[in-house]
Amino acid sequence: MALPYLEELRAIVGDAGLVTDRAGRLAYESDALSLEKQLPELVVLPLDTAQASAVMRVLSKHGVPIVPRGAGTGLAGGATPVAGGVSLSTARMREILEIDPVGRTARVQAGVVNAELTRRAAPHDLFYAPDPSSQAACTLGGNVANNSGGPHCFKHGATTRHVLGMIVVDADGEVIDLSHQGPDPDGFDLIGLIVGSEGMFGLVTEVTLKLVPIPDATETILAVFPSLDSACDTVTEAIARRLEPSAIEILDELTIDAVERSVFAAGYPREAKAVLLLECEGSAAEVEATSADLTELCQEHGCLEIRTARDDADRRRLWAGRKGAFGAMGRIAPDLYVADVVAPRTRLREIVRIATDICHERGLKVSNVFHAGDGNLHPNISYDRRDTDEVRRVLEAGELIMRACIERGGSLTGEHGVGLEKQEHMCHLFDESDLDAMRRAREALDPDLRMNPGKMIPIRGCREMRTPEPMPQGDDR
Amino acid sequence: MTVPPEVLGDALSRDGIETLREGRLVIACPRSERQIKALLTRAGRDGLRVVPAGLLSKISGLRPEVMEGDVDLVLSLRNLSKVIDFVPGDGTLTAQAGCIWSDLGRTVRESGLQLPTDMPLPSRTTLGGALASGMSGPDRLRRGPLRHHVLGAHVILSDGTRAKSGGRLVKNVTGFDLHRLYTGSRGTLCVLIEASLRLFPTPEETCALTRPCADAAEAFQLAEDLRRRHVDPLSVTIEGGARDPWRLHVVLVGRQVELPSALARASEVLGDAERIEGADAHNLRAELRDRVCHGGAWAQLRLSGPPARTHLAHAMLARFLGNDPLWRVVAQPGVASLEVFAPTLAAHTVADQIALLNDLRATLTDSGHRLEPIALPGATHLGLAADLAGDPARRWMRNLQRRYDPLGRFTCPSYPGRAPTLGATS
Repeated sequence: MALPYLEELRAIVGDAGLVTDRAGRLAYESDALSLEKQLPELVVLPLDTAQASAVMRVLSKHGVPIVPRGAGTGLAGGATPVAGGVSLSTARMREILEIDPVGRTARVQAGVVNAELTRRAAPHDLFYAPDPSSQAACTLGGNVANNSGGPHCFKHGATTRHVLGMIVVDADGEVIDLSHQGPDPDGFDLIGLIVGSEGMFGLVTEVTLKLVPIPDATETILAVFPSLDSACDTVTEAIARRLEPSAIEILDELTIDAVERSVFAAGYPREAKAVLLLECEGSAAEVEATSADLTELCQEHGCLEIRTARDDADRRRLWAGRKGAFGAMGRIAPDLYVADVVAPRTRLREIVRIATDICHERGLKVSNVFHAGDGNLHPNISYDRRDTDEVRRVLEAGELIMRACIERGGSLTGEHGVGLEKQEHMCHLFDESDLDAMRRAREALDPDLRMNPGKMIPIRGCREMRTPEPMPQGDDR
Repeated sequence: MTVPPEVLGDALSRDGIETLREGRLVIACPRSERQIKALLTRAGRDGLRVVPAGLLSKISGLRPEVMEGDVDLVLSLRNLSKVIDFVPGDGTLTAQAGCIWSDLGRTVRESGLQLPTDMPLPSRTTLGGALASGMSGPDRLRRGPLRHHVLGAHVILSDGTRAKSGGRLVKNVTGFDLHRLYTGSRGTLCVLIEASLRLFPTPEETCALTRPCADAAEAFQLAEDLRRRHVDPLSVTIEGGARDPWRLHVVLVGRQVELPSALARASEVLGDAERIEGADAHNLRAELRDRVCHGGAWAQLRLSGPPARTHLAHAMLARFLGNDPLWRVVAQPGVASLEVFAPTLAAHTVADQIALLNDLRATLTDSGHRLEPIALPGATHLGLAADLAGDPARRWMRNLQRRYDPLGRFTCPSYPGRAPTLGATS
């Protein structure tokens, strides 16, 4: 491999920090959205902030695009090196640097796996609340890039509400230390801007996160419904009645069947048309009262059966089914298109129906498993990528579902991000001046547009291939 | 360039824009987006420095340079005061920036909902002003800061372009969260004209425990004990000072059925505390909300840092201010914030203030705390900011300002800090 910067990088990270051979780099040609692929020139795995900074200085000198990457579990192509360049992986940055049980904070390197933090915090009666389905594999740095959610974000909020500080390395290798924030930012809320920016401002190398006390009591309820409509209506009414469980999830008939036929079998009733998985947490009295209210509400909406988890093992089993649902879809077809859209919570039933109709009209198999309490829908379309016509129909259905959501006050993505997948659809939600405001932020923090190029903001006239306009009044670099 | 106030006021009136005067300030109160754009066009043409504002309730505390002639025109959004969309079933509210916080609170209360924070001085605060200031109430301990609950915003940039980010949805990761960037930017990036907020259910019950403490150390220790016992109050406030006794206030909210157990747990920690219930508890909650503006005046300083070390910061502060007979503190230990009222400090010259506060800042570094001047002269802000100007994070902030406001119409020298090469203190 004749890369002019290779030996400089080897001097920084050593052989163990480089993946140069084609076979090794193939693992980095896409994330979990495998419809789009591009081999990176090189994969670099720094150990810490200092190495990341040194690496990025070298790449800056050579003008090389940089694609940050966590565990590659993203579903929107955010870590696919579509413009070539170097994949900068946090896979070797796996240290939990500090857990402060009194301050309820954790300081971690970006490559720490989400579930590992909760495991390490548990002896202090604390946990990390955002819990994406991929939490056994996804990294906290990746969660920051995508502002990841998860079932329990209904109560606790998505990643952005849990990030207290961070260290970022910009495209030129400068270290931006935002790790000593008080309750409010010192100046602009850069952390709020960076969370969810899909790696387009810099590489996050360390994060300070809020930990949450493990509640005194937790109750998990499985409500069985005769129709998906009635499950959706129950959720809409729960929000209207201002009930506050910690999670509200819906799984439909096809999902239940796939889960029950898989290793994730959770004992969901196969005859159900939909189930609602509800969780309440808090003091014993609070949990008891909220559970009673939810049970009554479910019964008002024609619920066929209510089951309450008997113990922790039963509770874990119910959740394993929910979190393993995407994996279980492999039983339906070899490939899965996981749509991720948001609907106003007052219009859940309507949009779920529309999404289902769109898929059925195109002869596609769609299953639904989603964060109903947040209005975050995941119509999952099972398909076979070898069937080019089916792939075309899948993409067409995905676009129509997005448009239907937007027309009804919804949005393109609730937790997976825009990445490559929804880049062109940004124009359906934002006009050119909205997108220009985003470009201003991008150009302010990465004037050469080398951080994760070709993502999120639609490319206009090959904008990212040209030299951007000079910084007004002189660049402060 | 500075245009004489009377000339500017007359010119704006001829454009049909309502103008007010407050001291030397000209306050333009446009009634439409078109008028805002016209104002910004004039500002660009005439080289005017503009500060977007609401009712100016926080400007004297947070933007003292305004009072020192560093601005030609205040652009008040107070006439843009329509509720655009309130969807109780979705728990969201979208309103124009000039809406009064307490009016919005009344609007949502009828549906059993409340705004995401107990904003100080709610009847004198606009939605836009609340967001621009980045302030939150003491209830942030449980709910998080206001900026976490801003779902989206519409703004007008300095060139008159209207742009939106986010939306009206409780969960949404489409595009950059620019509304988070705008929140707390104190009007130095754009004019915020509309925003959407997440709402919270109104709790069934509110009660409070209040307890006198022998000294600040005891109060901070009790607050930490509450935290260790995983009591989950709405707010914890400590107040006291050189002449004032020390008190700890704990506000608890929740369902009727759960509050007794929460109260019992808190009482175990606090021992002999006075229990306050019903309307009195609501009144105390409102009083604590407004404590940051003691007697109508904002604190001179705010200290913030790691929650577990708030007591250390306070101890250092007490040593530092020991000779000031008037100093007092309002602390929210769970969120690591200390509002410091030190009126004697305000009597020093700017140069002395900068020297004293730089000393204090150096002392606070040991506890990981940051010092922010509030109700002190703009020159003091600028002098303290100069020391931080080389920080790479400040460079990012300045670059953002240049991109969003290339002609410097909104730029404030002390916020977030002037570039090192331009740095000048009093």
